[in-house]
Amino acid sequence: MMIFLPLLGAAAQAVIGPSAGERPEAGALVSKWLALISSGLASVCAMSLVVSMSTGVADLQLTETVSWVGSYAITYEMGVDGLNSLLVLLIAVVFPVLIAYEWRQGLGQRGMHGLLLVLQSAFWGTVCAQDLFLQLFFWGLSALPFYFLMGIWGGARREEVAFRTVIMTAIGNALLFAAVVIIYYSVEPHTFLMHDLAGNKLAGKTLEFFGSELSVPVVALSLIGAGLAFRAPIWPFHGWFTAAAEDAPCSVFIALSAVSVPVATHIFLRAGYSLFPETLAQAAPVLVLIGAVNLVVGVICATAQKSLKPLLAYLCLSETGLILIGTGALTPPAAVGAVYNQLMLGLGIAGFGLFTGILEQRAGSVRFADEAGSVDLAAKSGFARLGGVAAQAPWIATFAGVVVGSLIGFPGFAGFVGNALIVIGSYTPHQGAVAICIAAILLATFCLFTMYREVFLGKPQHGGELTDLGARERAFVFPVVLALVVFGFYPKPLLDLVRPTVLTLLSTTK
Amino acid sequence: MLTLAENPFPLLLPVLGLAGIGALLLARGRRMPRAGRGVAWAGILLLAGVAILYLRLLQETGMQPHYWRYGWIWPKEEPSALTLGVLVDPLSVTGVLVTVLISCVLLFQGALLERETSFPQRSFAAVLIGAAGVSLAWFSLTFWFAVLGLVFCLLSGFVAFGSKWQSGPGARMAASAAWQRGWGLLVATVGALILANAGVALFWASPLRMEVDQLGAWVLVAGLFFGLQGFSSLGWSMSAEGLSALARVALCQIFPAWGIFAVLFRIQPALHEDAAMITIAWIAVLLSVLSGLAGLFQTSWRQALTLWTVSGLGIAFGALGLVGANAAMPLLLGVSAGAILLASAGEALEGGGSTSHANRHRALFAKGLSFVGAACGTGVLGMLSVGGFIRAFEPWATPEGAAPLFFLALTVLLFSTLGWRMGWKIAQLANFTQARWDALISPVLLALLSFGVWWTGELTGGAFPGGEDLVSGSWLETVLGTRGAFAMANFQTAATLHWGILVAALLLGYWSTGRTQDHWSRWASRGGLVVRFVSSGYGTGAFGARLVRLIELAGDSMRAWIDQKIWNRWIPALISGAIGVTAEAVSAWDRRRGQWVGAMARRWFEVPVKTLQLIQCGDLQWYLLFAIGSGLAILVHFLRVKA
Repeated sequence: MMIFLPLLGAAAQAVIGPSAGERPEAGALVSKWLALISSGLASVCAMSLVVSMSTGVADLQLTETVSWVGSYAITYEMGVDGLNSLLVLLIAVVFPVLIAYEWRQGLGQRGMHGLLLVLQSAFWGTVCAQDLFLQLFFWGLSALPFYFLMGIWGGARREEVAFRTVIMTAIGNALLFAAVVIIYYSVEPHTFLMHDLAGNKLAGKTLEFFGSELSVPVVALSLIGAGLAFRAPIWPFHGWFTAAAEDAPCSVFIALSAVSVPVATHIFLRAGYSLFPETLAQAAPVLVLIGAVNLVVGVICATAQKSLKPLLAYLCLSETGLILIGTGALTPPAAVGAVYNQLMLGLGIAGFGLFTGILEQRAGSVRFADEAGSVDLAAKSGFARLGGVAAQAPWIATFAGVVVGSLIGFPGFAGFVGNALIVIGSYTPHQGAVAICIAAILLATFCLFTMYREVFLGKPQHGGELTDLGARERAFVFPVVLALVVFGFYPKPLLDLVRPTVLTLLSTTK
Repeated sequence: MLTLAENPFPLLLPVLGLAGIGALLLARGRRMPRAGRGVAWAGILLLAGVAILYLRLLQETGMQPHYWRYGWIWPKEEPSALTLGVLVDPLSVTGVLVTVLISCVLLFQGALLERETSFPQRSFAAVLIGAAGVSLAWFSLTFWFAVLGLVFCLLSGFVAFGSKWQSGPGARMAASAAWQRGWGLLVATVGALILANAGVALFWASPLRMEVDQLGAWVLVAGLFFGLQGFSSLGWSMSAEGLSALARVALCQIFPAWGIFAVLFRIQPALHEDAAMITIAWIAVLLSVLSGLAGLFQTSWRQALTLWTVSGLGIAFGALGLVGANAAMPLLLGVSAGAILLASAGEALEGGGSTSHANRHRALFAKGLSFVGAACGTGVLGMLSVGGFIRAFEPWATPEGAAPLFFLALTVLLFSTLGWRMGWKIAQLANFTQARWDALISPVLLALLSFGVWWTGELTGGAFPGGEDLVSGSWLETVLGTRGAFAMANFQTAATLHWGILVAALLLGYWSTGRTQDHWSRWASRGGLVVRFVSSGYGTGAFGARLVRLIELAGDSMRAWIDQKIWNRWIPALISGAIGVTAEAVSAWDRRRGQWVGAMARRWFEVPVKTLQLIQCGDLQWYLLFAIGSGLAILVHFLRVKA
């Protein structure tokens, strides 16, 4: 129900709506309420699913199994455990918020809501699927709506950006598909089911390729890693992502960065920990190195940004690096921290994207500093940048303050919990990575404080009145703020869900 | 009373509630413009009530500490646990009572805070949030609750700058003050996490063993020091535009310092012989020299006061690392009281007023206050800080310790000279003030607080060895759990040095500032490159700006090359070129194959096809062909049959 309710809602968007000659406003109202209700109801189902999970249990819970394509042993198997439960929560929080954010979308509202609902279903399907083919199916399904969402509702370069996004995701999915096929044919009887493939069942399997024998786990993990690197995004395969940040609508980029990226890291983490534990242990230093590079490059590039959208993209890049370090450290605290940070990265980036979008709707621009030498040009064109927002819109400033506090990882905010666990867990095996973390966190602090100062403090720079959050906007940012604060002060219930699964999976990597 | 010992919530709820009230004042303050000060008073008095209740509890239970510990991020049974907890002992209650007193002085000066901004509730909110933060840090059983308190302190400083948020330089100052504290806090947090990895839970109720991870100890202490003194980012304190000296000193320097010392006093016993603590303590002393020197060349008493406080806090940190808590605590108290007294006097005198008798008396009182402030900080006989200085000098007052002693003496000389220079400078501000009497008298609370008799039981504040003027027990020793403060071998030398420095500082202060001409200002205005370099805070601001520009350039270059050139231009061009070239090649090959196939077809099929074409188009009489052909066939047949 959780997975298919949004799909039903999306289908309903196609059939229920304004018809010629009738009252289009009423039809639009019905369709958007329908979208919100279907998304919200599915989210309630998701939350009750997570709440009903037993803590202290490592195994998969609340499973559903139906044979799908029997001749190829493809099964519709869904379930939740410590690895995916937090992402189920993330998707439950983010998508209703995005639909509420796009409440007043003037252009093709039904289409946009319908595509967001398809994305919600696709992402839940991806994180809950326990069959590799099914997971690939949902993951592939999640790529296509982005093309339309960017291509129709994007900025000036929308066609180009949408095309690049779909090309890169297609390359990534093709690599993943190759990995899944290799895995399928490596075991007898052939299967896509993760629990049948788990526990080093693939260890020692080889694959003949132009006369040379290759290790299946190494090839498959490399293909999965490379495939996800195109969608996560991982430096230097991130060019399409930063371009998308500038020209995709804010809600779409939130879905791309705050949901798609954590889900990509989840696929890698689950595949690595459950299917290829030994190979992952061997590849751990490389993974940590990639994470550290992502972290540093992301933060350095973020420091140079003068606009909120690319800044958001680079922050996402660096946070992904932190998750990779936690994943590659292979210690219980670091791995738990990596899983926890998937949720917190999602919420933090979603919060950042929301206030960016809210400011863009009001001020028409999210630039907060002038490029060197562009002051005269700006003055001539009448272009105004953001500044002094706190004086006119204190609620937006407060919301942004909470989000920034969490992204920096200040104690008391949700971002701290994951970061702390990653630092604790990574210190013994990778001291260099921890040193890089410290430097990156300090630079991120400077960068975000500077951004906050430029956007929210000082004299108002933009022309005209900038209105504060309205009741609808307060209602949809509230869950994000609540989650960032509550999960920062009281992370125990979530950590209790994650720990047993992670500890069990980690025991196989030793 | 004993029911208080059952759980920590009667203590925690008011403390956290205080921060909540502060947040409420920030959010809703505009709707209750007159309620700000009253609400703030109620909150601070509630905190005072809680502290007094727990003090009585301690007295009833023979000063035995009470603590409660809870798991937070990792199960508390595991070595790398991050836990939260509450500790009530004489030190924590004392820390909170001092915080209450400082808050009371700030609230008595409410008129000053109200004068500063159209939204005075913001200043009261800052006081409440800061007081809650410092109290949380002192009542904390583990590092993690203290960090939460320090986050509140940081927030308090940021909120205190609220009146300046809307001006560019003000906003710059607020943000840099916040991230400077934030950096220190984050570095300390990483240090604590590294220690947690090594199994050091930073849990105050049991002895700490921080030597198990040297790097963790280094990072923790460096972070705390950076958050405390923040020498390397003096930009915010050097800026001319800013909020009142009182709010700046109390909320951005003294409150965070008390919060950080709440942690430092707890970890110091584990680090008293540690290289990290000792090295950073010497660095603190060195930076105190630099800040003291920079302070002397300031033309504005506000900047000088900020730098004096930075210098004093550095000396207190140095004393903690090199000697111990019994030297640091008196210095911390002295600097805190002195800075607030000087700020209050300065603000009162700078406010000006008519030339009435009453205003003249008020001004005289304020001038007195400024000298009392300098006395509190620099260790005049009877003040608590005198004992702090003497204790700090004592271990080095031997022939072997001449070099460190000289360095310490130089530091204290600069600090004391700057203190007395400020006393004179503030006293010269005006001869009339219309400041309210309650605002003028309230800082006396802090002057009383810094009297040694309350802390050491001695009328001289620890200026005589062996407790010769002892009139009661030493509360300082009860609070810090230290003994033997009077059994100092080199007391005579240390005390003589201190008195010598104090007299020299008094004379220097008078000679340079107290007379008609302010020599330091003259040197600052006429000074060359070196003086400008010193007075601008050693170019730390410019260096930081260059470093940031360098990082931005690196980021810009990476973006320009990786994102824009490689991904936006070269890779699409490469892919498009590769596809174009391949398509062109395949097309050419296809064309050539087509021509070859055509030629072959012509060669093999042209004759029959042409023949058929001729037949079809009627150029050849097909029936004749078939008739002749058929006739020939029949003929051939019969010829063969006959044969």
